[in-house]
Amino acid sequence: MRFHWFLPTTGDGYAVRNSTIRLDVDGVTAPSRPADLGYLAQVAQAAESAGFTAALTPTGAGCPDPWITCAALTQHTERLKFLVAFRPGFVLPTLLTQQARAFQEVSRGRLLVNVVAGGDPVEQRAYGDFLDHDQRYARTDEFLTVLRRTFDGKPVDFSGEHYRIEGWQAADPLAPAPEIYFGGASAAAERVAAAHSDVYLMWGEPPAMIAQRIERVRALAAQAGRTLRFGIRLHVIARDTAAEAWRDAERLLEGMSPERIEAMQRYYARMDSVGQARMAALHGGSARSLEVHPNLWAGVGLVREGAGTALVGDYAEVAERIEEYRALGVEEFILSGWPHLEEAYRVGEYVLPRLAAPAPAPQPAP
Amino acid sequence: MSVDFYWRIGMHGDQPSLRRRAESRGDWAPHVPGRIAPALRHGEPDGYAYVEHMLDVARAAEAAGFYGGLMPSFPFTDDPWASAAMLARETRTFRFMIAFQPGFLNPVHAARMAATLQRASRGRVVYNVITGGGGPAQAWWGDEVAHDDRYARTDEFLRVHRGVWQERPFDFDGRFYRVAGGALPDPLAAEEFPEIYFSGSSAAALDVAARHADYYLSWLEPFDALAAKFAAVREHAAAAGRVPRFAVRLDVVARPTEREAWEEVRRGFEAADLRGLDGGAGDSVGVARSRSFVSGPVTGYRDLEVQPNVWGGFGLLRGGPAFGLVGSYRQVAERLEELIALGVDAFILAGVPHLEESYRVGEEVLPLLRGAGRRAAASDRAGGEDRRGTPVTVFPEATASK
Repeated sequence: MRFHWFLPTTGDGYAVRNSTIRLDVDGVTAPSRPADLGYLAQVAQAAESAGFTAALTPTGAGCPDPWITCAALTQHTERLKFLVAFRPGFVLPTLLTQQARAFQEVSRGRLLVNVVAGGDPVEQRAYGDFLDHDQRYARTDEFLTVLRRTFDGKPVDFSGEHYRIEGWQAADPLAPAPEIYFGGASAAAERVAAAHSDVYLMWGEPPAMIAQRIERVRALAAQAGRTLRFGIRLHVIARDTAAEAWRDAERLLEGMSPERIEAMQRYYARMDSVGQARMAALHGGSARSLEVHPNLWAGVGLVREGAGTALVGDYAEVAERIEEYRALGVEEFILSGWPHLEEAYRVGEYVLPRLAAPAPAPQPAP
Repeated sequence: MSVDFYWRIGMHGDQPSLRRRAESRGDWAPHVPGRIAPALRHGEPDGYAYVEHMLDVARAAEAAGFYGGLMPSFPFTDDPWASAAMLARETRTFRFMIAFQPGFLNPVHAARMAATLQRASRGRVVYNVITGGGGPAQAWWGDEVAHDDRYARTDEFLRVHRGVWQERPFDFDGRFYRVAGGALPDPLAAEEFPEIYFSGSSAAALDVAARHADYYLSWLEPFDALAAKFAAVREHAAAAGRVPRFAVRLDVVARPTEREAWEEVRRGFEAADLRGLDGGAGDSVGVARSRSFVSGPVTGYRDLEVQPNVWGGFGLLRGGPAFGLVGSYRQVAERLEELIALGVDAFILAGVPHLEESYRVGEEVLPLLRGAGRRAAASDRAGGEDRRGTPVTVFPEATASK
């Protein structure tokens, strides 16, 4: 099992915030802890002290570019890896490889990449990208075909529907080659993930739903002669007692204005992301029955896009839930909590030690 | 005169919470998986050093609005001078209040070390001069000078220390030190002499404090006793033609509600050894005073509450001053305001765990103080307008008159 944390690049504090979009609506306040480099460095350092392997950093029109942020943070950390998100539609695989090479150099080999196909057509068009959902995944498929070769240092001549590359020169392979993490719940996404990714990521759906997806993607990968690992993205509210944990979940809910909840429902409605639709269906826009599985709370998704569920409970319960996912085949856990600094310490000190087979410690690069 | 807020940096590890005494952050206890501590992983050192945790705390306290950190010194801690040197380069405005005992350090060498650190940190060194504490701790340092002589020695130490810095060349012929032609070299001597926080409750201490202290530092006591102590110090200082400021060291348990704060204390108390209430500390007058303020038998944790929100059991939960504040954010802020009105110009606060509690106190309590605002950056070379990391202070115009 490997455990990762998350960098709150849109700000932090004791409230749930949007991580990739900027919503101009009543009830959205400035973060009590702005995400300046100093604070993000503190979160990264806390995650490193607490024993996490990597930090996931999101991408989107409403957050800072993760490549720049993470490159800067490599100079404030020694062992922590960075799971940096990018959208195939906005960068060429050749340039991305060049950036990855430089990142490996300045970080001494601590790059992991997270492929995000994009789920909001309005946002995509604002960037200048007009492909529909399935076309985006077809493009991602070509992108990753090229990327594997360029990461490997091979020369590339490629002629596809979405990319045409002539005479990309051979070079030393990226050492190490960054592992490719990929999330996407649609059929198109599953096929592309099975064909190309090292780790298939899912947002924190209830175990039964996760089990079905693992079975399907594993089968697709096997058809392509491949195996891959499975990862899950979950928030955590872990406390000494269940009462304290649920009280803090309640406090988060109190910080969610009806206007924000309504605005997010409208936002979800315009997206073409299957994964986002699955998440939104868990709470259905209502705060009424948010515990969708024991200790799995869907309140986060009422106001936050992307991962919308949290494990809520005492340390033993949270560890048990993680074990439940592990038993289904999940090996990688990308966690977060509020504030991200304190919760990193808490999960590292009290939850991770309860889990079987602790992950190998991140080693400094040679 | 604005009010400075310091936060304690643990030099001997930390407890993850008041209710978990046996566990620690740092490598003073055997390593257990999950502890924030250097460890062997798969047989190899994992590359983590305790200074990294100290850095986490210092950076958090700086971001949360504290003016600087107290770096304590005991036989069982890391060294504050070496630690401050490491933390200085990774912080911007945070000052380092280095606790040291003059008797255990050569005054000329100390001047050179301090001036070097002043230069490297752009003027962020502060002294916490400690003279008391005899007994086994003193023997550990290889010293056997008796209590009142230790204060006489501190007096000479500070005269030599300041002399080689500011009266070059400096000659001195005293009971404890003899110096001929002492002088720091030019660039070091040009550095500002650090502010002196001075501790000690005995008559001998007050005498020396009167001559040297910029801030007279005391552990928290019931407010009446504290006021009387300050009056005595002012009297001694007036006789020496000086007007000292005052500082108080205290622990804090502040929570959104009073109930939650006392719950945290109760849990810590239940895990504590009550014999700690009578623990010895050599010939320290201060410790004896602390013990004297709690009268009657102690059967429950509330028995140690000597006045609203002032609790005398912190020594049980963690080594250090017995008295501290317990209450809601609002209540703790009000008690701090009362202390400011009483004459306190600086606070050294602490809470367990030191990382998370620095953010809690800095973000939730300090902003509630009447007259709270942000100090200008400690160094005009800090560069740029940056609200975060500039220390919170209380501006006197906005507070009740002292």
